[in-house]
Amino acid sequence: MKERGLELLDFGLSMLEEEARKLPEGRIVGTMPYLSPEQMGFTDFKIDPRSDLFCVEPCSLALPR
Amino acid sequence: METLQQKFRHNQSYFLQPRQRRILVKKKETGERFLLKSLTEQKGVSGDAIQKKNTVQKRGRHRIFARPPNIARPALTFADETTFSILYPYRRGSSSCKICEVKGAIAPDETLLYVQQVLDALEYIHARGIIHCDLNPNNIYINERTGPGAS
Repeated sequence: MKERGLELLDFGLSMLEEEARKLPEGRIVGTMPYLSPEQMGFTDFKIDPRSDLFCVEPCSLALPR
Repeated sequence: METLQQKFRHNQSYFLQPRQRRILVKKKETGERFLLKSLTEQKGVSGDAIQKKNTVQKRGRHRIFARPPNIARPALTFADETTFSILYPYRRGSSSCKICEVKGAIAPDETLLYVQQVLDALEYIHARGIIHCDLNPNNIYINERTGPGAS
């Protein structure tokens, strides 16, 4: 099997976009502190693919210490 | 149909929680190593089995991808009456935050490589209508042997 340098793990909380639209308001989804405002329930916006992109930045900031 | 015990040899096991178990197994024919994650049903808790079944189905969802870039792909998912299990190919390595603890710091150039690969993986799953929702350094696996360059 070909080895990869980096892989995304844990799709336990993953959801389809339709499922994300049906989520009740104010529900927190994800791991603190790597959450977007929508995932925290701070805004009226629903979770969408842009939430994942928001989380890339705190992850990249956590790398160099 | 061959059972798991016939196909795999038990190597080493450890419990994360009373109901969560991880077993390192070896395929008898090829000697390839796999990590078996299993969740056992808790008796008397209503909806517990359904919740776990949903989790396993979600984790197994990305098995449909033919050649996912930078996404860990389970080799097999299966369920019986009380236990739901996922079989992952075993690879040496650790999460990005553990690598930071060991190395102390990662060079900016190397960080860019990591970010690029994470974005590739996200682009792939978003194109298929899936949102990860739990992106954090613990869920980014880095192969210690190859480094971020291998693709």
